[in-house]
Amino acid sequence: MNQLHNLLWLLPALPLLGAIVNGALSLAGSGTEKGPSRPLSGFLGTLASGSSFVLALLLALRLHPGEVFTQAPWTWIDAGSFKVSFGFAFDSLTAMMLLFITGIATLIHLYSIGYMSEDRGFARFFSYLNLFLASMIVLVLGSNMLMTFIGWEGVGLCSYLLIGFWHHDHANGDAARKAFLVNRAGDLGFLLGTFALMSLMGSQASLEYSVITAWFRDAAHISLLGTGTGAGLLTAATLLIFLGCTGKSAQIPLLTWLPDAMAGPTPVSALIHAATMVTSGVYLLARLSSVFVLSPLTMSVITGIGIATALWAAIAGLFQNDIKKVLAYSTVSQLGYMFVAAGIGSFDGALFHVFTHAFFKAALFLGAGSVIHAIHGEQDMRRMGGLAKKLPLTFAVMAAGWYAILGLPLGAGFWSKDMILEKAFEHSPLLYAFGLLGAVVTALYMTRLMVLTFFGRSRDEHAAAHAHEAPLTMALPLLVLGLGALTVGFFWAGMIPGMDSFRQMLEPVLGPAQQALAHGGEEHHGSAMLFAAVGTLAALVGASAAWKIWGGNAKVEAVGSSAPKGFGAHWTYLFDYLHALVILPTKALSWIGDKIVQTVVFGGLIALLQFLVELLGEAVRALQRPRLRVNLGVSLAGLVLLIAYFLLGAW
Amino acid sequence: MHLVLLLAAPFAAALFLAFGSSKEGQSSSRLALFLSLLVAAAAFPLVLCGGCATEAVDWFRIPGIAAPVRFQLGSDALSAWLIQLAAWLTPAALWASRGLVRERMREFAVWTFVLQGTIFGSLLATDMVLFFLFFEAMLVPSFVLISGFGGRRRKQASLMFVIFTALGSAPLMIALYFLAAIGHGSDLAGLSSRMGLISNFGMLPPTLALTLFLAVVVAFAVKTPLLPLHSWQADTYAEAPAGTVALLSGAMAKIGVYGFLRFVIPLFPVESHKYAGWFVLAGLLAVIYGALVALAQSDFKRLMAFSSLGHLGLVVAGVFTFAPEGIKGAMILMVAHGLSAGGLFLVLGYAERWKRSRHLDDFGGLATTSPVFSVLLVCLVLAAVGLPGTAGFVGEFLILKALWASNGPGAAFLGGLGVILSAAYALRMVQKLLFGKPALPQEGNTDVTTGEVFAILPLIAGLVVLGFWPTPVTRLIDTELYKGWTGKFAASACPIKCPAQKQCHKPTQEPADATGR
Repeated sequence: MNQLHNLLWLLPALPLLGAIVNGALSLAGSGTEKGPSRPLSGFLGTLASGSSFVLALLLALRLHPGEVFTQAPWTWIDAGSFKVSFGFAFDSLTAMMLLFITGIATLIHLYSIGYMSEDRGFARFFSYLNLFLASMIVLVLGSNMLMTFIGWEGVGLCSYLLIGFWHHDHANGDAARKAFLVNRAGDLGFLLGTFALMSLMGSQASLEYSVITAWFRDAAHISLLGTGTGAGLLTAATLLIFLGCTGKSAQIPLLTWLPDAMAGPTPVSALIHAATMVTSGVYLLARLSSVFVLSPLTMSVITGIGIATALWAAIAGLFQNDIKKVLAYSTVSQLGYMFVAAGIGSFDGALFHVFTHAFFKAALFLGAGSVIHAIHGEQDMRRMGGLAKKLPLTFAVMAAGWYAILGLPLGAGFWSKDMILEKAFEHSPLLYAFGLLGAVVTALYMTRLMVLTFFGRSRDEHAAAHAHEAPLTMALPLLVLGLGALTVGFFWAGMIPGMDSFRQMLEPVLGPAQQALAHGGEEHHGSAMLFAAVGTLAALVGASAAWKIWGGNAKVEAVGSSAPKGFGAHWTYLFDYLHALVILPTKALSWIGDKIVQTVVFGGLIALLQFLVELLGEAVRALQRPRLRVNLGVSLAGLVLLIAYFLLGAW
Repeated sequence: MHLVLLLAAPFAAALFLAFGSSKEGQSSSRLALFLSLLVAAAAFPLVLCGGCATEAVDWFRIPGIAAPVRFQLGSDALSAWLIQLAAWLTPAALWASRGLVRERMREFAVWTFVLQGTIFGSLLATDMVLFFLFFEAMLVPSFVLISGFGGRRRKQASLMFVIFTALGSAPLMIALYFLAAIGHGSDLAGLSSRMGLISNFGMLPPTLALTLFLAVVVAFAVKTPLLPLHSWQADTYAEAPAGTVALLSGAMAKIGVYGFLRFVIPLFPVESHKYAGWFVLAGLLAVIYGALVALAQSDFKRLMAFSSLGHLGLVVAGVFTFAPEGIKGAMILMVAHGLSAGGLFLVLGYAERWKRSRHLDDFGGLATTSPVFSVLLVCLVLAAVGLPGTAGFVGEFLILKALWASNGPGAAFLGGLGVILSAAYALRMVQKLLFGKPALPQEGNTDVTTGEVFAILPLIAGLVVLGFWPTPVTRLIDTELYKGWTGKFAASACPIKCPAQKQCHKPTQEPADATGR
């Protein structure tokens, strides 16, 4: 057991092995009538994920505060003075991320056994899910930025594969492609950001987090970064890396892919597009917190982007009729709150919201999946209604998620969101006001979702008649996550002294950076109750307004597709319009390049050349030689003479 | 001796297949595969030693040039991995082409071996005249393979290919004669050290130096190809049979870049550095232009041709950063592109054979009907777009890093833009081929056979292994070597001294070594 920390590589290797085995099973069974054995695939996939969780737990229990387990099996890139190790580092930040990632992933693997049971691509699904988990683990376990980047693009790839999982429909392919490309735009920011960081560090350039952190905490270096080129490069580096975060974590301006990503199976939406992958941007900010705190401009940009995204997405959530789209915009909005927290220097607060959000949003998504599963694939809330009686367990779990996201007393969101709002108030009352407004809208769209789905009369009798509660493999994860949504907030219950194990755990990693930024004033605990009361009031206002509008038997007609219309559509697609400003010129340039430059200019050149060759060939045809040789010979001789003439002239 | 045998092996295999056996069809393809694997196994040890060379033998004299042309073969860090590309793509190409050429397999294999032999020759030659002979000889097997086994417009395509490349290398021939006359001999090691002195002291009239420089550059720029000399490429790649185009794009095109590294930079150090920015610019333009035009293609082999244009543009940009990371990145990206583009052409060749079409709109739903094919295609596409964990990523990362450091953030941004665009066209191709419902009614078994899978798997394995462990490629390159070829070459483990190493000694430090062979 003493050698446990030499097993870091096993953490990603186990799910990777699961992915390979399930992939092989999927291919081997593709020709058969029934396809590969589902129980076997499901078991192997869940086992791979579960054993990673157990290993992460064992490692976390042995980790002393401030300690880091490291392992670097080999040097990955060796380009002279610049080296990158294939290294892993396990500190408390990684431990925290790994525990909830592997834990929730295991639950969702279990859930998928039931959810995907009818699907032909069962083994393929588990293969992708395992591959995703392996990439996500590399992302948080990597000891340098390039290792993180392996996971960073790896999760993007798995996201692509899983959004396009049902490949018979081209719309899914479009959504998958969009996710990959928008993420790639962000990834370019990440890469350029690393170059900027390295030019800042000069001869000591390294991508190891430990080296970067030490370098940027060194007072001698900090003084260089205040003015001139140093400051410019620092701002560029942090903004570029933040651009990468906006891609992965669906923030303005790179957020358009996440709502479309709902084309994937619902367990994917819960795991990748709500609980884990989309939070990697927050993780990266926390990991590089020592760098980001040095650039006040970037920190303000992060806060601004965060609050704008939180508000915009919350309002967009109001216009959606597709139950998964509501949750998708809700995710974008909640991620916005996390970036607000990071931007005002409360990285642990941001991570705490990552943590609680993972539970309640996964509960909500899996609950939505259970609803969709029960009524045979219907996702339009206008065709639901009155399902509370038919699906009591699902209703209870989603109600728990609803309770948590609204931030009602003692739920998970009560602790994490209120803390962010409180910190926002210390930063600026205006920020707090916007945050509170977002909380009201959150209560509005979430209550609308609950009311339309579970209350009132059933608007599609046929579907509702056949509705059935989920099987055990789905029910168990639902229960665990529902329970988590109500309780995980107590890991950092700000108002109760001593209940801050979450903060203590991260203190060694994030403490120095946060203290560097702290305003010096002591925290005023006295008003915590007041903040809690105001936050709860905001949630109640939103919830009761929603009940007023959509409650009872309000008329909700399902006409046409579930996509929003009118102003709602413009609001929803605002950033798609902006993306079109990039996409359309690219397409135009592509057309010009192909049709004009390539076909006319270069094609013309070829035609001219061909004509000349033909002409020469005709002229010497009398020699009765094979045509090609003549063509070549004459043109070559001509050129030789020409060049010789020039060279001799020059000599 | 090993190198002579290696060079002779493909030609011997071709002769053996042509005259030594009367087997036809399937059995000749098995024999060809066996022979090609032997050749590949013989080539492999080159990457284990730092560099080696055969004894120089005087061959013949060219009037007006003091020293005779010498027959000498050498392999070093620069050529060893490119030789591997030609060595390992040949068995893959032969095995993957069985379904396409069927009963004409023997003829196809004979010419493929000849093509492989000429590629080996160009990469092994240490004398510029010897190099030139092989460089030109490559055209013959390429022409026969394209015009004999290609698509509907094969005649025109093969003709344009030959004319373009021949016109490109004609100036090289003249320039060679002048260089040999000025430098008293055509052997590369001596020539480059003398050229280094001559140009350093400005002993050559600038216009003459520039003309010679451009004449040499054009030949390699056509081969690579660099904008705007790429016109032959799309038609050639589209019409050539899959097995041939895999070798053309995977191995032959790399000789263009090899030429820059081996000849242009050492022979014209002053001009190369002076105009480095223009080469970086041309490379980056090719990256953007290639990706944009690839985005508009409906023929997947033409799409791949423009994709190759972009990738090799990035390689050239990396070379002309003159930074250690840039050169190492260029080397890895060349190997990665050889494997991924070679593999993609072969895999797309399967699809072309099934549907008798290269038009993306004729396809769809292959993920449903051909799952194994789909996995191969997606793996290769991901390697082509440089996903981390594949060799292409290491190359792209190092080149972009070098561009940022040497040419500024703007250059890195342009290169990175090409990387995004490459994902755009590659995923568009994937979606057109794999997604949706099967487009046309399928006949019989349309997934790949086991043999066809095994032709591709080694390529994917190579991409992944080098993606996580690129050191075998990077460590062979001594970074000092390419800082204008004036630094001292680090002692290598290889017992036999390589001419390319000698040429790198500073003449002032060890003059005896540079000329005293």
